[in-house]
Amino acid sequence: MQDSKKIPYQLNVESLLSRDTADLKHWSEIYKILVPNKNLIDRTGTLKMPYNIKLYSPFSMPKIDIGFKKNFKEICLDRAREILKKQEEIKKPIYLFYSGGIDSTLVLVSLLMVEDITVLREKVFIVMTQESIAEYFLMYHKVIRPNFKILSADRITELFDSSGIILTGSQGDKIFGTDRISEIYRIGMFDQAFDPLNDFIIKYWVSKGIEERSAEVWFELIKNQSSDFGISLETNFDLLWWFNFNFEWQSEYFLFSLRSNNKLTEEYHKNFIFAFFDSADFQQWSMVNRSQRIKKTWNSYKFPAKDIIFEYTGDTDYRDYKIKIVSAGRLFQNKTIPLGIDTDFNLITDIDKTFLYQHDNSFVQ
Amino acid sequence: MNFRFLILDLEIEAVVCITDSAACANSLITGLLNTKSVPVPTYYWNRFPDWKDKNFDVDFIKLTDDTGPEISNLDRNLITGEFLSKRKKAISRRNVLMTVERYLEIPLLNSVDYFDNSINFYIKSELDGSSPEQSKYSAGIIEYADMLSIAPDQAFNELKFLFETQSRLKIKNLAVYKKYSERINQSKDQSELDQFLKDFYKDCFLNARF
Repeated sequence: MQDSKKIPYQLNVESLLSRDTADLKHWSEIYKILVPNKNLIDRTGTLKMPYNIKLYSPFSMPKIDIGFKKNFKEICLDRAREILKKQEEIKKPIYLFYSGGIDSTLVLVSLLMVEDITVLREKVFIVMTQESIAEYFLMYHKVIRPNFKILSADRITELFDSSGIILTGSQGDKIFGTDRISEIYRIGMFDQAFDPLNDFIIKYWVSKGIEERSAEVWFELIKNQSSDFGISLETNFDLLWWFNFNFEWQSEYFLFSLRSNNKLTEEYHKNFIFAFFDSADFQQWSMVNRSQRIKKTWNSYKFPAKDIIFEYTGDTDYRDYKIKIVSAGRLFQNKTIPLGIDTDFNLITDIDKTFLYQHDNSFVQ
Repeated sequence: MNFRFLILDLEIEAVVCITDSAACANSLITGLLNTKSVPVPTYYWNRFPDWKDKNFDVDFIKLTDDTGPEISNLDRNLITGEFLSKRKKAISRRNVLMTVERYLEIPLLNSVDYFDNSINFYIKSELDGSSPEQSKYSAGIIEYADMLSIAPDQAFNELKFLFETQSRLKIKNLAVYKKYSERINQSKDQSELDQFLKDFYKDCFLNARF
């Protein structure tokens, strides 16, 4: 089959953005706030996007379990144990992609909480940049430098070679909400973000240049879709979280492996790439504990994660003042990547719009 | 000594345009026939009023460099459509090259953690003189470890990381600069330049964002 006739799991949608028809226009407008690498997929399977990008089955949205009781720390430690068990099984080291940001620091701390550091140092390489040192100097100075082997993250393309397990802090932002809240804070709409669900998101999207009618279409679709799935979006922040948690989950996962530049099989993805926060428990925790993401200040975002880091480091500054920033930016700069990955895990270099277009998509009003 | 760089049209000894970047100047002349880059110390602009008052992108200036750079007014009859077109092309390309250079400089500047750029050469030499498999480390590595109160293997590890990060980053940046400066210097018109810049942003930044 031609490359362009394959159904993708991940696709750069830049060439698909269009104003030709109303459905495409409404759908395309959201890309005024998103980069085209971020293809949106409804993990509940309810909304049909204009272009056929398939949901990878492990990422299907789990049904909410309202009786879910595990606390955040328990989940982190269980996940750390699970990954170390995998490491024991395949007897390959872990390449921990560490930025010094909250997510990847929590991954390291979780591993340190379940395994003695003298044992862990033989199993884990810290893959980082010089910016990682600056982002959390204390962690580098006290924990990483005296104990761990470090690798330059500029070697990223070489690490997708089955020589070790790639472990990232991916999906952390999705279980906590969205780092978009930083921008909302800066434009003075922070307090409104925590109001009961209203037309806040429409106003916010319109302030970012999205046409009002398209913003309304997206808002209605998401409101109905979440409700159909049994998720009640009570506040505006809930909607921001749901958008990130539901629609952006899959592309974040695959964008990482696109950096390999070589075909990585499904088997490889299952055994050698772990996004720490991609687990059923983390997703349940995220759906059940809506009050555990942020308090009434921007620097409290991800406070349960920072509390665990504090428990290990005793660093009150990091706990109280560290804000979420986009940490991996420089690492992935200056690198041409393929357009996407198809359902056979081949890299995509060409797109057939007509083949992928779905006439009966949810944006046809 | 700091320099500014004048792009000189060799046919008529006229200044085409000016840039503060040696890389930009040396790159620009690859796409402009019969030109060369003339580095001039910045003190010329501080000391000599006729240099300070001139706009080297706009004024018609003759430059000779027999016993040091000297400027005078260009003969009117040498200001041809061909020269004006060369100047317009050079300035457009320079502006895009400077944008590219600025963006590529950012990660380089953000990775500077020491004031002597030649350190990488010495780090490499110390790494090559060590054998971590046999726990043998060069005198330089041991000195580094002692000063920072860390084990020699950790010192080796850290210096290797610094060396690799710097060298990978610089080589990747060089490749990106080559790719885009070559395209920019062969561009036919402004729309092509705009497209190259768009491609550059996509390659270097948009694709990096999650």
